Amino acid sequence: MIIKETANIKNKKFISVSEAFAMSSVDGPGIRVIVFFQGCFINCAWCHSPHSKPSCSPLLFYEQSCSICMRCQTCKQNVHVFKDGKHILHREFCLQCGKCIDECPNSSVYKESGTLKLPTKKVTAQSLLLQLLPHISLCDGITLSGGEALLQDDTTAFLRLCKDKGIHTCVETSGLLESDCYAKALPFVDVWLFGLRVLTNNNSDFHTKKLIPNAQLIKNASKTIIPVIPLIPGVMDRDEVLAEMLLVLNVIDSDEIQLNPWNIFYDVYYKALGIETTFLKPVDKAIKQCEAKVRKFFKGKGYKLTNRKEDKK
Amino acid sequence: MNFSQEMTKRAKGLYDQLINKALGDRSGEWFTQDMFPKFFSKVKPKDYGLEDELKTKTVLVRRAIAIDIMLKAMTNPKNSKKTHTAEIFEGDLLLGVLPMGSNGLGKVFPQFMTDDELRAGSVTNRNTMSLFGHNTMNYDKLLSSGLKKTINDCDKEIAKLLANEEKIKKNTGIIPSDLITDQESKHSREVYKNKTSKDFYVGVKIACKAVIDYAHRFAEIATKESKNKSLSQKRRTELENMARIAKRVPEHPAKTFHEAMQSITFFHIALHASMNFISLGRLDQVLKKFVEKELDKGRALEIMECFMIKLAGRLNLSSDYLHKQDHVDYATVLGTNPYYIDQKAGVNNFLQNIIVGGKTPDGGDGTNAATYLILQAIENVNLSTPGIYVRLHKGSPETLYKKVARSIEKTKNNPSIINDDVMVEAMHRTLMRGMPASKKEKMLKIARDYCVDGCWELILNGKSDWTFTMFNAMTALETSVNQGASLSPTPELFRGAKIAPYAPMPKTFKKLMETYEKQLRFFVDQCAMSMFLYYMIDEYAAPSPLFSAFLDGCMERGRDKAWAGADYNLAGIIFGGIPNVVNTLLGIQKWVFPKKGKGKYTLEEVADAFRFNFKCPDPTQKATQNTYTSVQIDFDTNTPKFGSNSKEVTEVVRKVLDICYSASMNSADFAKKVYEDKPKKEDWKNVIALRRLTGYYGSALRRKFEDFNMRFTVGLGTFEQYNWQGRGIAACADRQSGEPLAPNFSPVPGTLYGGIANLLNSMKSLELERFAGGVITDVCLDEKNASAEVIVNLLKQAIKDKAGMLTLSIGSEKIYREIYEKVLAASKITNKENACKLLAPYAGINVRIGGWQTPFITLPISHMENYIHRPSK
Repeated sequence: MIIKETANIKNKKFISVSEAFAMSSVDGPGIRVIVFFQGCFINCAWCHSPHSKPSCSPLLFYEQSCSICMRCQTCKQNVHVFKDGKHILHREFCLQCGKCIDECPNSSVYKESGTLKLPTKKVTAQSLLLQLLPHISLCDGITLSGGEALLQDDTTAFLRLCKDKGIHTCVETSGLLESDCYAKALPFVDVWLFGLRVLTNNNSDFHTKKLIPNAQLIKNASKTIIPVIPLIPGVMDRDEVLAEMLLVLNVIDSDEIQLNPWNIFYDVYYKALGIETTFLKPVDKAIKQCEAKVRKFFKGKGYKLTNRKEDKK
Repeated sequence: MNFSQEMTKRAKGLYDQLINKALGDRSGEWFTQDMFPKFFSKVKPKDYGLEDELKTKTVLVRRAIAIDIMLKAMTNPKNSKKTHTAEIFEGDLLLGVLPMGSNGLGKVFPQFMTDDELRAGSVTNRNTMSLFGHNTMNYDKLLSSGLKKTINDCDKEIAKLLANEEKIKKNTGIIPSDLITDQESKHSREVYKNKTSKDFYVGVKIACKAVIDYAHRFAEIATKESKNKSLSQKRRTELENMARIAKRVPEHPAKTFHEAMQSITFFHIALHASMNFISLGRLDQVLKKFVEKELDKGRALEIMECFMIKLAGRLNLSSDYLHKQDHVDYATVLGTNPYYIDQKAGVNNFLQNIIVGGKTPDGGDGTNAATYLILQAIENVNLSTPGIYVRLHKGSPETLYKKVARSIEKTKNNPSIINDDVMVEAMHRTLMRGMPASKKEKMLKIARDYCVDGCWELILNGKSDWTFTMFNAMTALETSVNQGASLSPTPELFRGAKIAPYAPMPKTFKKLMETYEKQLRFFVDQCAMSMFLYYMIDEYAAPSPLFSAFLDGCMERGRDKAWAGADYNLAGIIFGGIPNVVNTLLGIQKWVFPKKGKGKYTLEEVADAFRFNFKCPDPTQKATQNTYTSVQIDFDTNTPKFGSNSKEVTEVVRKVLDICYSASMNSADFAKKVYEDKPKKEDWKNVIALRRLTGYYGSALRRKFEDFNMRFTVGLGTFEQYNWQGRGIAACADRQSGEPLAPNFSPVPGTLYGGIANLLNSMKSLELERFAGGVITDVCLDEKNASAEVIVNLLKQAIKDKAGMLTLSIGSEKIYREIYEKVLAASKITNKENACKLLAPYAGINVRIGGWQTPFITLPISHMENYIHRPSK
């Protein structure tokens, strides 16, 4: 769905979102509206939405639908250059004015898809809720994801508005933010999808010490926590990583673990941003092995495992 | 109520037989004229209790005889070797077989019109083939009374009329036959009425007896088959029982569920065989008492599944043999002017719907055991026909919502939804127009008993005769931005074909809307008046004695439905292309007449860009080409679209709908003044002059038929004609020249950017309760999102948001694209059997194409290309 930016955003508190979808059956309990918030500092090596890391996404470009009409060259910043029949973007000059999108026959601010896209929309909490309400009425609740939804100041205000309307709320988080972020939002969140990201890349230290107090905080508030394990081959299936996860799980005290499968479209946004991927794309065999190992490990510990993309449906 | 959720073994056998047949060449199964006796030389009038030669009989009587001839031909063993119409299929529990025919392939029927009549009809496009169908009959009456009673009623009425004839003779000495055509004098009207009524009852008698005889002949076939010792004892007993039932119904009232279903089957077959392609109406209301009494619910489901498969008996699943089956006649057109439908899209359209659920006349909820039985059978069998509509409202039971959602999830497109909370109100407003307030309650009861015909137009269940015209709303937009002419690029026509009155180029958006209203009214006047003209011819080409016998009012009035016999006459004006009009107006509003400042383009520039399909005829004119390209991009991708929930879009949609509705009501009043109302003393000369200007020299319909009241309804949709209707239309905001229009009252495929929720939400403020002609929105839900829970929520939202009617398909671009590629590949295979084999795995994938469901593999390529973009989140 398209989120319409709030006009005259100056001097207003706003939220930055990149995408939103209705009727998801894999992003929290029942059927959900899911909103992806802009901004994340965690820097997971396998991140499949690099455009959501900065506070505002750079221009996305999907080369396969470009018809080389060169109308985007009306851009006065010379972002769009054509060389040897190839469309090259100099995003470093981009002012995000959207002129190139207006000129492009294959792009539209009214559409989700298109050759060129500026996904970040700045909206007030009230406007965002108003736009989502028709979709929420078809669903069982709303899930805030990202990016890291709780990094933005007005997210709590948005969650409060949702609760005022009696909407079931769910937040998906890495669990790696400052405890204050969680404490502020706690009263307005019904369910937490809590990422067991004890490691964010193979060279980092374990984040267990950060995760445990945050999990404890949420647990103490008697909120439902669904632990989520991203199935990252070569990372999450390492013995020591599994052992660390178990420490966090002991705090969460949930019988169920949700497995988040490897995203086969991992590199789509990297290509759209014109940047190199940061994680070597695993082969199918590695993906299967990773899932099998994680499943076996936690099954052996008595956990019930669900696959986020398939089992629920 | 719990029924088995899998197709019964018996039905599966019948289903497989049907699919195998449908994938092959069915051209040999059609009737041919040599299978009927020569009407005027071989058919003996005495066999029908008539004395004079057949050519002296009215068309109505001759049509009734032709029905008998057709039904006899169907049970003729020699014919059946080709047509299979006298067969009992292995395991079937219902007797009777529909002869080949469809909306897109045409019909075959004995020729009962004289050469002179055919020649005269050439100017109005009316002849034997012109029966319109699109109605529903009173099956409750058939099941509770039987045909014998109708025949007895006819005898009584004929006796009364004969006595009256004697009285008239005594009063005048003669019945001057030449006066029969002069209906102006009171005397001649009485003579005429007596004569036409007598003929009507004679025709009804012949037609009803023909159906009884047909059933009896099938009883004999079943009896004979039951003696076949190679069959199992169980099957032989079944056949004996079926023979016993066929001897009883439809002649007598039905006592059991099986008898009710057999009675309906025979009558439905007789109607469709005699070219009356009509729907089955509110079948669950009719069957309620029979299902409740039936102890063996499993058996009831088996019978219902057999019924569904029988109704689908004319399916064609291969595109390879369709040319040979093209039986469409020049007069198989809607209205008096030729309108050639998209035949291929209608190959598997038989105009047969079943409507379940909804409010009862007293305002309660009509959901019952038969509702669930029908839904389950449809779900289990999952064929593209018959179509099924469920009437839902805020008070519909939760179990029904869940059942409907489950059926849609399983079948991927059935049933379709009608919102009672909108459509009852719409029909009530229509019925109350011009009526005193004292009739409010009575009309509300009638309105609550609405149903839909073979597509989705609202009619009254067994109570109304329906006719309609379609109008492409884009045509009026073209003439509004081009001074009354079409946007033709042909230089010889200067600014274009002059199809509407001259209108100056609008200088503001407000002026444009005013011009659009005036231009639209010009065309709508034509629509409204043409329906009267068309209606007044039908008695002489397309009377329906069999159908009229079970259409409320006809028997009481002694008049066929073609001659004002029905209790209610409904005339619909259906607007196609509304979403395209809205999208184009939104573009004009934004880029030509913005609220602030000067527009980026002039209206003339935009009109020319549309006219030339965004391609400047002179390639050296680079600046002009650049303007056209900019217009195309700005109107297409930089303008909001129909279906989004923004204020600016909703305002324009509302304005367009207001114009369509007010223009239609205005034209309806005018047409009624010309043809229907008795003129006031001071006005009669003017009215007569108006009539003559339209080519009509007769008297007011209210003079001929005291209680005649043509009630006009307005509808929004295209049926399956959206591809077709786009062909003559220049480019616009959302399409290039000749490309399809938006289907029905739905966003252009691929432009539902705001999602289904926003689309539904945008309906709230449109006051769709005005559109009793039907207002239908087609939505294709991406299969990723399509769980039963989502569908329940969606259905409830649609009802709450006051959407009028909703068709919900579940699909994915991937599967549609896959089939499309396979169809293209199959078209290149010379061995037809191999081509069929390639497509056979997709035979069960049905999609909604405006008016009905159809197997995706049989769609024209252009429809497939359009459909691929529909799945939405």
